[in-house]
Amino acid sequence: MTVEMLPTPNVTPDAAPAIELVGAARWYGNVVAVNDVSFSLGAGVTGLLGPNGAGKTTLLHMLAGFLAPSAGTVQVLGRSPHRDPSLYRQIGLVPERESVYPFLTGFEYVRFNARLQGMKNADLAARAAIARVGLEDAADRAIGTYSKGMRQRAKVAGALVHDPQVLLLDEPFNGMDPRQRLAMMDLLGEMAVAGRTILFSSHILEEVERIGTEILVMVAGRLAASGDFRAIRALMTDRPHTITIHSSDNRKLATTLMAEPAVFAVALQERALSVQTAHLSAFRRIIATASRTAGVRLIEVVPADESLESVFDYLVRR
Amino acid sequence: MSATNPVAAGKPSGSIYDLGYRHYEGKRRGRLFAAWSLYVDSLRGIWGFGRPMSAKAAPFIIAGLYSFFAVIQLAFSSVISQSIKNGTATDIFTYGNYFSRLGFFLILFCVAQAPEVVCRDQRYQVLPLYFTRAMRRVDYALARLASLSTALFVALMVPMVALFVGDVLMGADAFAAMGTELPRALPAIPANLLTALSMASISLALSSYSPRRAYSAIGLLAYFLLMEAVPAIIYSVGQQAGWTWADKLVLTTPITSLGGATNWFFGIPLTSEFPSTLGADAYLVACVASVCLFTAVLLFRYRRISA
Amino acid sequence: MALIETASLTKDYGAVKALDRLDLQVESGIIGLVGANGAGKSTLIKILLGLIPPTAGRASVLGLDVVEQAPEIRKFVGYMPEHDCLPPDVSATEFVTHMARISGLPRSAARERTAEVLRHVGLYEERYRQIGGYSTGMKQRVKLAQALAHDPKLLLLDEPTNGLDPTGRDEMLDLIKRTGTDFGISVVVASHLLGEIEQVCTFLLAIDAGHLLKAAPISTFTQRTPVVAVEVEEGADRLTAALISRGFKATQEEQCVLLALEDEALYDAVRDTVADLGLPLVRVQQERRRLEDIFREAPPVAGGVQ
Repeated sequence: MTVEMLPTPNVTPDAAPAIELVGAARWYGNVVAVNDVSFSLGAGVTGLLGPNGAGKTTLLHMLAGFLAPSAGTVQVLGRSPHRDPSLYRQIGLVPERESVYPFLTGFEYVRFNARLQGMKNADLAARAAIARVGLEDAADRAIGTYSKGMRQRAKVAGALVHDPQVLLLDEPFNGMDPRQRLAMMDLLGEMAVAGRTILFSSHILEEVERIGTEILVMVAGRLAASGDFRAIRALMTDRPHTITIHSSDNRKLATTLMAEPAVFAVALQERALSVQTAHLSAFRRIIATASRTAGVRLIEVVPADESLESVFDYLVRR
Repeated sequence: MSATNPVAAGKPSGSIYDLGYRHYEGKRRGRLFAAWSLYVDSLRGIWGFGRPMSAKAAPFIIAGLYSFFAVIQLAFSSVISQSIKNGTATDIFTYGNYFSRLGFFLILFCVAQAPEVVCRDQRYQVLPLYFTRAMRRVDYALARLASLSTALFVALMVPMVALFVGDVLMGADAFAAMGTELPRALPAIPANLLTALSMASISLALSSYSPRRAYSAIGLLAYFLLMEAVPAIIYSVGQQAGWTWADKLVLTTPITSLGGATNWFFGIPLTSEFPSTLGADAYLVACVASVCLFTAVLLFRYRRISA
Repeated sequence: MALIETASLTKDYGAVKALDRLDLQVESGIIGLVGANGAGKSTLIKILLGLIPPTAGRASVLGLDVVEQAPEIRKFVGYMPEHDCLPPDVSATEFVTHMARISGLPRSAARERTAEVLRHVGLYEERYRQIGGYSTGMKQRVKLAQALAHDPKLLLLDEPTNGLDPTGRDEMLDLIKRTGTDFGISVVVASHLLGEIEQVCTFLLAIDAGHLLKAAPISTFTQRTPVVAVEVEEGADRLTAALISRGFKATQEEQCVLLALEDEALYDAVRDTVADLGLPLVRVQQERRRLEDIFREAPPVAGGVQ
């Protein structure tokens, strides 16, 4: 195995991490949902990724305090959240399943959450939360009449009405239309900048990439990787980097590049040249020079497998 | 690929076969075929065919119990025939009284299987897949109704056949006995058909209102039990209190009315449990009306259900 | 003959108008259907399938009217609903065969088509096991198979990648693309995910609050812009300065230099400048517009339609 764990990502140097797990595990009889997971998170947004059944929801529920770990420790803001209602005030959870009463209006539902959290000015807080998710126009209609995306936004409003320090979201974009998604991504970004710790799970990697670069990847209950996905990619030394190039003369460029020690494979495709290198930085330094030497114009140079999708694919399959 | 002698002339040959998607150019049948397919599939499902073994347990055991008594009577036919000759047998099962006495088993059959028929598709939201095919909502409802009616009819007729065989064997000459028995047995067919339709329509109409099998089953059982018990209670109270309208209530009982209607088919008078004011024909009308009513409810339910 | 056509199509749910005098015309291909703000796209699909009647206006599929000729349409349309719609106690083979027969295929044709279609969607031995034990990915494949079994001319897929993890999504999108291109079947993919629509579809239908927002080939929305992005690992400021001094219009955004593409000679200048400065070159790429730009530019419609 050539992928190494990065040390404690996301930790602000002078504060205790908002979330810290050490050897956390959770099993149900023979089913091990979460297995020996350790990480810590500070302020900012982190994406929680993994195939279906990897244990993401269980992990989020442990952080929210619904489940006690079967082994190891789970700490949120320095304390174990399990059965600690005083800590719940600092945590907001948006669960995946439908969990809103259809007969309440959006406003009533959010206010209900505010009151459950013991807020004094529940009405005001509810209105503010509704405004933040953009549900003002529909706030006084019963949730049963909402579309799926609107229900999701109501759930998010309910989870942040008490302005928690830690926000946990399980597939929060599910059912939202494009505009709502963009708005939600902006909202999460704002909250992260404001110093909140946000952990959200999602299968839509191109969106996760847009919100931030910090990720946690779970596979079959184990933590497969954590940290900035670009740094994770750099650690995958056993996997060569692929770069796709369009130039004025692909074949000529291919021949020139093959002479470079940084390159170990070139492939001519229909209209592009695919280059494989084990030394990405070295390659990046020579590509312009090599093209000039060959007298070939570089029109497009695109890294083919640096995206989050690519990194995730590798982590899940290894 | 031909088997070639490598020494012989010619290069080795091989073929790759096209496994790509093929379009369908054949026949496409219509509503009737679709309804028939659903009917057959539904009927198989009621008896548990095409499902795991556990699904076969309830229908076969219950239907088996229902037929059990007729089979016993058949097994002891030689003994019974003696008692009949002696005139001491008064309480045997006949085509006409079989359902009245043992109908309870078929209530269980309906409570066990009717929810299977209509709740499954609602629970798992399969209905849109039907309604976006060549199948109208009314086709769906009627196909389901036909399947449960058929299943019940089969369950009802098995003991009739057993009784028939028993009666034939009791006679001295089998063939002659068949000749005399058949006309006596024939009214069982329309009687049981009405019974099957009536019980099926009630069961499906009521079960179709809940996607959860347990609720439907309980609701259905409650309906049968209450609609048998309550009118009977009111009638007997009314007899003493002198309510003259109370006897009409007996028309609303599902099982007892069917017993009365069966009597009409066999041309035999009603037994003493029935009020003397109404003849068997009244029960016939009540049962036919019940079939129409509950079928309409079933069709209405499937017209309104969202898919 | 247009694949799908509507004229003033309207659907009212009391106070809420899901579709408001919608006019559109779509030809064969792989069509992405996006709905902003409400249930317009689901309502449209249900009307095209004849599941709900329109309040006003007309619609036709394959030249057949959705109200008058709904049973005819259903022979040639396959539908993959968004929600779970599979009973758990039968196998995929049994279920798809049953559905093929309800579509009107005779028994042996239904069996054969089912076997073929299950192979095309990628279900092998698991097809004989009960659906209840399937993973989400396998269930989605069964849903697609039952839509394909009767060889429709048009497939309506409502959020086909719903609930799938990234690997599953890729496989499903690949399958959809193959269906549209190799199998010669027109496909309408209703989705909220613009990324996958860009990846798979050739035409875009965008509905916003019951109105038609956009109806055009995807290529119109993903055109290249006259801006070239040059990304380097370090020294972007020096690169920007050097290019400006060469007379090019350049701005810097973190490690990326954005250049106005006026002349192809720009590429040579970029190459030479990078080589001279000895900078590690990460990326050179002409920017494209993205589908989501449509939704960023149009203002949200007041009223929060459901």
